Amino acid sequence: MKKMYDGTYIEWEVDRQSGSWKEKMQKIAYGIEQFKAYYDNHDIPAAVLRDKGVPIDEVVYESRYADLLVVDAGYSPGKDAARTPTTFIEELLTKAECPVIIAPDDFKGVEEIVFAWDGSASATFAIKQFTYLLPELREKKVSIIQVREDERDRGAAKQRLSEWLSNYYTHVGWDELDGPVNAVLLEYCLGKKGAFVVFGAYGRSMMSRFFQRSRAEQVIRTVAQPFFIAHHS
Amino acid sequence: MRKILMALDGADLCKESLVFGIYLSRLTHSGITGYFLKINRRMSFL
Repeated sequence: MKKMYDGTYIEWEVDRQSGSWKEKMQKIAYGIEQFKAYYDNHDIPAAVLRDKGVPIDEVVYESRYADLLVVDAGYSPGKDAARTPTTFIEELLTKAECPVIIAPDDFKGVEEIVFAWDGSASATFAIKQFTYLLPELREKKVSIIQVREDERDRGAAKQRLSEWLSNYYTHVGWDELDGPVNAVLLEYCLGKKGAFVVFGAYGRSMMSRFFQRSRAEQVIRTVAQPFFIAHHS
Repeated sequence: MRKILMALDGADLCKESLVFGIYLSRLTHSGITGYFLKINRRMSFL
């Protein structure tokens, strides 16, 4: 217990002499060795950073100086199913200062790019970020999914986006879907194997629903699609 | 070259995400920076 000003609070301290702390440090050291060895075996340069304080704050800070931040799909659900699964990911998606990719658990390659687009600045921003950051994928088939939730005419914006995309991609198609946006997008994405899915506006809520659904169906470890999420602040 | 940062739980490394890292690295001709967390990820929300 600590007293400060006119309040009292509990200050937690890590017991660095405890067996569990030492065991965890050993596991991390082993994990870092595995990480380095794995990429070394594949001739990929790998560097290591270690956290010092609050993970979310530090990851967000590091994202400021990165082009892409990758987290694994199992990171959010964790191993303790009783906990809220997506808090870290949701917070990261909100605060990260570069686009975030949720890595799949069962990656088989990219056959297609799926852009979820609702005409918003955020969705368009995500498409542009993806295009600028991963120009190597410009030969892939592109599908833009647009969910019609209302009667608003987005024809003019659709035309503008089509023109922009034609500067970068050669195989662009549109899929127009009707229904509640989250449910429709979820079904569409779950059925798209080999797709790299790009979200702007829907990203945070979609990921939450995706993992809730995955958990409900006990397929958490077989998420097959990488998700690219960027938000326009 | 792009800077690709991968947030990893050091005590429970996810091999599948490393596989995706290989794909991204080869696609972009970039290295990978692993950011290892030592504090349980959930503690940050307390």
